[in-house]
Formats: sequence, structure tokens, C-alpha cells
Amino acid sequence: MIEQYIVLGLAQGSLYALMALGMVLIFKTTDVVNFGQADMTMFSAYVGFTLLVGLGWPFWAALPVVIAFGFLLGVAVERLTLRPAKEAPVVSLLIVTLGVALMLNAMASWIWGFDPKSLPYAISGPPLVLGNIIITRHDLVIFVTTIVLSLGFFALLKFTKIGTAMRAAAQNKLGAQLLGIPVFRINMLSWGLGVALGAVAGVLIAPLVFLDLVVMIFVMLKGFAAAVLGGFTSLPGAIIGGLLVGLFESLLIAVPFELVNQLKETLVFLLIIVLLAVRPQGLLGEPIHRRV
Amino acid sequence: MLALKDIEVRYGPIVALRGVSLTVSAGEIVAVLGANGAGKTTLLRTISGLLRPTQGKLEFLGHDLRRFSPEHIVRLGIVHVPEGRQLFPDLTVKENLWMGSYTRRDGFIKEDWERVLSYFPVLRERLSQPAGTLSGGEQQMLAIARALMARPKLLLLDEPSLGLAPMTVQALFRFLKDLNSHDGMTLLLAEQNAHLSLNIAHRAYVLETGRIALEGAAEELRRDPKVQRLYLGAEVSAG
Repeated sequence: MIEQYIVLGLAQGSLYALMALGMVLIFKTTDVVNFGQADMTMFSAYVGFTLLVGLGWPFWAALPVVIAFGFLLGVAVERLTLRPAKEAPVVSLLIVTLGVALMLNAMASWIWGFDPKSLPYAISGPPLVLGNIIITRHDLVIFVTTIVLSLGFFALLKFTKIGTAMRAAAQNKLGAQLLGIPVFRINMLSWGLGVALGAVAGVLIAPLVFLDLVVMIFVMLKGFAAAVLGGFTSLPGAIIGGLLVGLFESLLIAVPFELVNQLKETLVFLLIIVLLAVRPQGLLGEPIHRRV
Repeated sequence: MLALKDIEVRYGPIVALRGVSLTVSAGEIVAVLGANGAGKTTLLRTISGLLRPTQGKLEFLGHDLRRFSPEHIVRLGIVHVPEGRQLFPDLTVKENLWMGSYTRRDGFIKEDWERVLSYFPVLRERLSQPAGTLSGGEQQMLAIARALMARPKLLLLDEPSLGLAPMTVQALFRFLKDLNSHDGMTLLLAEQNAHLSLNIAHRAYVLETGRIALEGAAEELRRDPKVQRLYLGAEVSAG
């Protein structure tokens, strides 16, 4: 029985991990916490809804388009709203991301209305049975996508020139600029990739919940908690944080006390507060000193 | 090669450089001397495009540098080793050097890699170590090595001696001298250490509160009574 909850928790946690990975990537390279991640994810998931339900596209065709949409959205946010404000203090940039979030929210309600939408599973069909564990095909897609994207990201950052330049620019902007590394283009790329990761999480999580204008706020909060748990500057930390948050949440459902089940959200955040009190830099993070 | 004419730079209402004219010819070592706050860093940052002059001309090999971004200026061949070195501390030595050649697409990267490591053999032993774990002297070597990986035509150095042990500083200046005389590298060096700078430089400028107070051959400046009194201290004599 407990194995079943572990599998469910890891599937849920994978989505938090993708969300956290996107936010950490943006924060690491640009010093900005993207408070608009939820609404960017929500908007991308609605684009997925239009493709999958409105136009009847199969999942494998819609996913790349949603990823591309998320990427372009992130690029546009950096280029059109953050770069013109580049001299502003970081706190103002956070508010810019909130402003973008409000705009996207209003646009989504205008385009898709207020009724919750339901999205189809990535792959339909009967669940797979492995011993006494049942895995839905959709959860399997979630696992595979998360693993592929995480490994892809580490390879990009570790082995490619542009990925190394992303890490370099994150560590020392001035040093990077003086070597001819185009820091603004790197920021734009980070935003594109970060929002695209959220878009993937959104289109995978939407079939498990009803998609509306606010549901992604809760996913983002868990992703944020996962990122904080992992240290907020560590990409592996974001993944591990996401999986732990998902796992813990799922195991709380397994506890045979109704009160615990109902308070699972509260308890997840409580655990994180306790953990950060013991280890303020998160699981894999380093103490950071940044301009505010 | 590089020519500045009547350059003025402001930080808001504050004028940081006023009427600065300076030239660097290919193959020269030119030193810019001056106390803290005299405008040396501002001058180098203006040349590398981090700051924009409000007045004056700024030319490098026939290009008007005022039109270019810092990234583009690197591609033109000016590489700036900034004050405080500005390494990527969590990247390995190897990755730091790799980033030095970021803008290059030519086929000589491997060749430069070998040459740069032959200048600084200690870096070869530390290739897979994070740059942040190096000693101060090694970090300065890495900063210069990384800049050389960009294959500069003109190397700007801002206070390379800062925070280094006297022995290390001696070795560093000997290296810069060799880089110039053997490889023909052109250097523009901003330094508070006037004594060592005037030893290796061909020509020098003295900046005082954003203006050029003195200029001339290094030899002449070493004998100038004002330079001796203000920058070289009492114990140093010419030669």
C-alpha cells in the first residue's frame, strides 16, 4: 500500500520539481524570483487546452508547441518588461513579474473564460500493474518527461559552451561581459527555458486537476517550497526538493487520520519551515549574499 | 591603435573624467598612474564599453568604440582584466579558460590553450579545480590567462598587483614585460604601484581627479620630481 503512495508522490513531486527547476534557473542567472511563474504556467496550459481539446491535436504534437510557446513567453517577458527596467533594483523587477502575471491572468479569463477546463491525459488506456503498484500511463509520461528534461538540463549546463556561459554569467556578470559573453541574451535564454519548464509542468498537471485561473498558484507554491528546500540556487536541489515535497504530501494522505489528510498542505509547508530553521541554506544550497 | 580625444565621463552630475586624451600604439606598454579615485578604473571601463563618454572621441583600429557594446568590443580585440579579477569561482579553471575563448570561432584556440598553459604551468595542475579555491596569485594568473584566451590585440589591466604578495607582484610584472617583448602584446596598465609600472612601461600618464596631470616616456616620468615625491616615495631613485 505504501509503495502506491510513494509512486503517486514521486509523480506529483516530479511536476513540482520541473516548476522549481524553472524558477531556480531564472533566479540563478538573473537574480529575479519569477512571481509570475504560476500565471505563465497557467497560460501555457490553456494554450495546451486549445490545442488538445479545441483543435483535437494528439499530445505528442501539442507538447512541443506548448514548450515553444512557454519559451517565447519567457523570452518576451525578459526582452519587453525586464530588460527595459534593467537599472531598477531587484525588488522592482519582482513586481514587474507580478504585473506580467496579472496581465496574463486577465488575458486568460478574456480568452478562455472562468469555467474550469479539463485536459486529456497524455496517453490514455488502462494503468500498468507492477506487482502491487498501479501506475497510470499519464504518470509514466510525467516520470519520463521529468527525467529526460532534468538530464537534458544538466548536460546543457555542464557540457555545452552556452550552458557554461549561463553558469559563468550567473556567477559573475561583469566578468562574463568583459569576455564578450552576451549577458542579456543569456538572461533571455534562461527566461525562455525557465518558463518552458513551467509550461511542461502545467500541461502535465492540468489533466490531474481542473484547469482554471488560479490552480497553478498552488503548484507554484509547492514548486517554490521545493526550490527553497533544495537551496534555491541548486538545480539538483530543485529536483530533489520537488520529489521530497511530492512524496511527503502523498504520504500524509496515507496517514489514517482525517485531520492529517486535510492539513496536508499546511504540514508540507510546516516541514519546510522546520527544515530551514535547522538548515537555512536548504539541502544543497550555499549561503548567498546578493544585492537587494 | 587606440586613441582617446577629450574624453569626458560622468556619473550623473559628477564628472569622473575630463578632457582625457590618450593614445596607445601597437607593441607598447602604457601605464596609467594615479591615486585611488583618480579615474583609472573609469578610464578602462570607458574603453571597454561599460561606461559611455558624454564627450570626446574614442577610436580603436579605425572603429568608433562609442557605438559598440562591451561584448562587441571584445570581438574587436580589446580585453579587459578588471579590478578584483572577476573570475567565475564555482567554474573550474578549465571552464574559466574556455569562457575566455567564448567569442572565438577560429582554429587557433587549441594552440593558444597550450601557449597560455605554458606561461602558467601551475594552472595546468589545477585545471579541474574550482577557480575559487586558487590562491590570490593563481587567481590573478587565471584572470590574465583567461583574457589571453580571447586572443586580444590590446590587453587592459586594472590594478593587477592589488592584494598580491610582493614576490608575486614582481613575477607578475616580469611576465607582463615578457608578454610584451616576446609576443608583442600591447598593454594598457592602470596601477597604483608606480614604481613597478614605470619599470616595465614605455610611456605613462598620470591621472589626478579625472584629468591627465602629466604624460611622457616612463624614463622621463621616473625622473620627474613631482612623480618621485607623490608616486614613487622618497627612497626610490631613477633606474
